[in-house]
Amino acid sequence: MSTATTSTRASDLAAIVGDKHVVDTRLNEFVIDGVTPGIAVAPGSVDEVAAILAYAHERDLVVTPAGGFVHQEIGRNPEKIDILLRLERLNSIEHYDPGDLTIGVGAGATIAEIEAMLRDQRQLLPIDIAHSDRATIGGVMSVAAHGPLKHFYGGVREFCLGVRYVTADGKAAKAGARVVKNVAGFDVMKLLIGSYGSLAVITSASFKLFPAPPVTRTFVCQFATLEEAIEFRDSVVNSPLSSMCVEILSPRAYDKNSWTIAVRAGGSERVLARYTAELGSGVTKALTDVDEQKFWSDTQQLGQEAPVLLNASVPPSVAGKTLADAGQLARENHVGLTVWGRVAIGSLLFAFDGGMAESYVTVVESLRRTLPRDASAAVTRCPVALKSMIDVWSKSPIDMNSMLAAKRALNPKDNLNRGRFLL
Amino acid sequence: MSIQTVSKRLRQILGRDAVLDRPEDLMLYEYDGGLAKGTPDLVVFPQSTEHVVAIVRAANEFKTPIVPRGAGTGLSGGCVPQRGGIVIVFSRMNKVIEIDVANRRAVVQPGVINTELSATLAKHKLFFAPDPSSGRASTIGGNVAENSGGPHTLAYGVTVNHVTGLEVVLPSGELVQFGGKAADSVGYDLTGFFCGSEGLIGIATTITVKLSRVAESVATLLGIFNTVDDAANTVTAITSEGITPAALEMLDGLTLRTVEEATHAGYPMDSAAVLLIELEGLREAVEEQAEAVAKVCTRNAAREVRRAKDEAERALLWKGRKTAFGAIGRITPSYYSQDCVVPRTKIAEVLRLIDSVSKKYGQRVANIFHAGDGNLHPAIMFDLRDPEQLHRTHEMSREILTHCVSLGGTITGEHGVGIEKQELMSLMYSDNDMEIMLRLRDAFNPTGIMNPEKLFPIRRGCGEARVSSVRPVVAEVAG
Repeated sequence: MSTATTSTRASDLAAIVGDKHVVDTRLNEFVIDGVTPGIAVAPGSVDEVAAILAYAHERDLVVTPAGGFVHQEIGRNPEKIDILLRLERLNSIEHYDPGDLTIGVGAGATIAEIEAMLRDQRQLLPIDIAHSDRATIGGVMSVAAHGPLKHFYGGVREFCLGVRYVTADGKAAKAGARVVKNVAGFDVMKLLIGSYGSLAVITSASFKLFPAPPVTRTFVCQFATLEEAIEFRDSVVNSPLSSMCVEILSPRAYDKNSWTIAVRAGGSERVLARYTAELGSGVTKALTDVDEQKFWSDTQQLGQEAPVLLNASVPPSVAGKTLADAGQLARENHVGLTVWGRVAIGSLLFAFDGGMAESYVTVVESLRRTLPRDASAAVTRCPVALKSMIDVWSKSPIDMNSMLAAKRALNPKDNLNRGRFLL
Repeated sequence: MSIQTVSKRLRQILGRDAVLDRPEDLMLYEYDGGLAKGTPDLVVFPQSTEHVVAIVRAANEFKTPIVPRGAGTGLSGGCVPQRGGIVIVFSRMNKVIEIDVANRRAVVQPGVINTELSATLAKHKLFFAPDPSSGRASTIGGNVAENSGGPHTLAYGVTVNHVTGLEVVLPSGELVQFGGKAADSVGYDLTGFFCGSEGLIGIATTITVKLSRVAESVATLLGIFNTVDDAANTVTAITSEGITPAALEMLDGLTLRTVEEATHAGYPMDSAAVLLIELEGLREAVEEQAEAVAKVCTRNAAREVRRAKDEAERALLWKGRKTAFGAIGRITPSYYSQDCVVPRTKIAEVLRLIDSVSKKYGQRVANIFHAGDGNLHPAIMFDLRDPEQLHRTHEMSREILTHCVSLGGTITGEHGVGIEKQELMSLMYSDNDMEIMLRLRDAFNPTGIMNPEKLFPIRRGCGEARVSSVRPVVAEVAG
């Protein structure tokens, strides 16, 4: 791109957002998979987002929406990034009435900011992920990020009530509402959550909140073998308990001598005593207060240093076999493996390390071949070079032509995150 | 191409007894549980996915609209043909294909009846959570199309929260898969998007649903109040205590007296409102919460708090709630039930508004609703034979819904838009909002063959004529 074009674009965009919200130098801090954006802009309103997207659409420029850069490593290598659309200024709290147990926030609000506000009211937005001080609500929705609390509360799709968004051609629109029940119109939220910024730009969203349990306890249950751990998981799932988290941790994830199942519960002493009774001799230790907090924040940090991360969703009945297969493949290919995840709902994370590029590819592809047709297994982190050797998304159990039809409706010229998502 | 040709073709494919085309037979499929009316040209009863594919292909060939229909218990006209065409009834696709206990999933055909699925699951201590009041008749396919709720959605969520996979016949006749048994899938969540799309983007022929475990313990309480405001304030006070009841229902005084006369459920005849509160879960937790809820009710001036002693008492309390709309039918020639939602802190305010609207227009309104969700079902009473009253009923509805939307609420919490509320969509959504939704509809349904003229306002002057006006009738209301 010529300097003249760059400076025209900078002045065009500055006319929309103001000079100080356009960055056309120091773009190194915004590099994604080796691709440096042509320019970065930070709009301060939905109208500005719409104007930028209309501008880009007209000129066939590729736009990448960005929040706190927590999840930008996910996806195929970008074809190009003409405009990096930073949503950090859209970070207002649009509504929060504790009595309604709902909140509406701008896409740029961070999870930590939201948590801080809810803490005083003893309420919970169950998105327990790493880097919550940087991770924004827009980013979390785009990648459907989740943590151990997903076991009980479900993913973001289950508690998002409404969304404001701008289509790739610059139409600002909304769907849903801010009340907990609403069936008026199409559920566009569902399409946008987990679409990795390939359909539209989320500008704000409303969520259902949950009462935070006054007291929680985490029962750490350790087993010599994976089979015993899975058997224990089944007994927990088939018990009357309604645990907040049922998380599996492989020997490398927590205790090198055992497979661990961590059961987190909330409630009074009487209720927690019932958990102790039901979980029986499986419990090695019960964590409270700071020990409990540390355990879960350590769990959130798992895999942060690993070069290759695989995020899988499988029917729960094959979770045990999938974990065993992954272990065997890693050993055969001399790759280190750390595993954890929401084992009762089949949401598993695999962090691979210490291997050659080819061995990562072999392990991932072999593991995918063991999975049932309706499972998904996306590589959510790997070195840039590996992205040309492996399909990070693999196959989807959702009809491809129907997904393309939805994409054409919202992003007709494919100028949002071009080349990065599945389609 | 005449409809006789289509009829002949479909008889060859489906069998003689699977196609209806005589006016006296078609009449039965002109309406649903509520409002609108429209006559189909044909009614067909497929027995398999292959049949559905064949019907949709034939409809495309003959350019005939298709309207899918479950049990016809809907309240917004979702299964009522606006432009004639073929109504596809799923009563013969009613098999539970698989119960997968290990994965907590059931795979069902769309015609499976809601409560029958849960009855089939009882031996496994599992159930299908969405529980519309129409559940004894309504089908899972219909529940998916309308994204049905029910009293227990407060804790369990609505239908979309319980569907992981769909086999869909697209408007083109193509058979596709969205998801499966896994909780999530890489790709756009078309399963979630499909739920509540009111039959505009395809027909689900196989549905994979999540199953929930039956709770160990249940407590059902009845809080009795002398003022509606006290009852409404109790609703927010309960959630402020950190308690999420499985259900939290409210009936106002007029409803109570009517219901009690009809069902003898034990509701007080002289109170202003009651809350029906159900708690579920671990025995210890339910006991603690029941005590806490009773205290909250008392603190908010409840005159009395009763607790069902056994299953029989519990069933009786629920019978009163679930048959409330039927009971209202005893005291009015006709009624029109609304389905608005407001933030739950606004319940008292909106009830006052409803009362003032009722007085202003001189028509009685009974209120029965899912208070925990802020989902109100005001039933406006009128006499269908009096056009003035009918007109006023519509005016009252519009006034109430407009106010709910101004409070951040919605025009429908669980009944759907269909025909009934298509012209009210603009209360909630701008032209841009709807234009994008229409783009999505057209992406899947480019020729408009699937359930035409539904959900979105009909753009007058574009050559699309409105078939029938909204015609309220006495209806058993889901919810």
